[in-house]
Amino acid sequence: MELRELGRFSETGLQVLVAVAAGPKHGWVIADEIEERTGRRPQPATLYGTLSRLEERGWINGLEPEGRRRPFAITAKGEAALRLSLRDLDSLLKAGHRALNLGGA
Amino acid sequence: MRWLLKIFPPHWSDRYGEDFLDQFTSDPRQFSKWAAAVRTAGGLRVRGFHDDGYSLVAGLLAALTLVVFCDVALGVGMDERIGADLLSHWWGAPFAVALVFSVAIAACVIAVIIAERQRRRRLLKLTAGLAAGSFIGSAVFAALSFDLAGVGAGLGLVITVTILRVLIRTPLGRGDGLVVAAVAMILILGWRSASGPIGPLALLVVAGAILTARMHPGSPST
Repeated sequence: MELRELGRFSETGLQVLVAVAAGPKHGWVIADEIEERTGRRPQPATLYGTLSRLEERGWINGLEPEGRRRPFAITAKGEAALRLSLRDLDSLLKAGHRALNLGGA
Repeated sequence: MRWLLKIFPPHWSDRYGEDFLDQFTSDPRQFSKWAAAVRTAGGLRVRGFHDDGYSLVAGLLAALTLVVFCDVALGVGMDERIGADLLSHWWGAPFAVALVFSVAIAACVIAVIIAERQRRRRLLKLTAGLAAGSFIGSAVFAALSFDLAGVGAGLGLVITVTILRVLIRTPLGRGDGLVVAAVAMILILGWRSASGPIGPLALLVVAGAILTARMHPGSPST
């Protein structure tokens, strides 16, 4: 149950999980958030390819559409996968800081 | 622009199509958004084929294609006269056909044994059907002319997939039929032009595509 199972979608998968962790969001808002955070808007096909993979794994749930747009909410399994990834990233971050003697981590 | 959804699996288009099209049409990027769409659709199609319980059949098709292309590639690398002798003699054609398709049939038998163990009855029927279809198609066309054996195998596969979709209600969609048809067409192209530059090129492209598709065989379908 790790994000790296998603292959080339794992980076976008992490971004999507972070976006929906704060509350249900539809594709447009998720793309806006990712663009704001990374400076690069995900390709529409990549974003929806990622959403479908996350939904298959039960990490997010598609809710009833609001008009033409369907919001997605994180599930307990998704939260667990996100925690695991964040923990990995955190240890990587600390190791990087230690290696560069940056401190503060 | 709705036609673009046709390249994605139907169940995917039903669920994500509207939202996806909304974003796609308003995205200012030109080439990259198309490339990402084609790549994602291809990935979804291939994964769907693998993970609807048909990874063995997909592997079988890959093996069959690789065996045939390896055979073609060997022919390209050989002295032209030796290759021509093998294919032009009455005894050479059945030998080559038997060689190629006995490997395919052996792969089918292994797939069938595994399928029985896993109690996948539909997979069993589909695998047996594909083996029989490709073999009969090849045999019938090879009887007319050895050069047509590849065409026969390709047609046999396409016809078998079409029949099985109706008879045993496989979850194969139109897109999966297209994948099979594409494999068959590439096979035919490579077969017919093996002595030219297209044969080895097609071999590389197909081998690369198949290996890429097989990289994550355990991933669920989309």
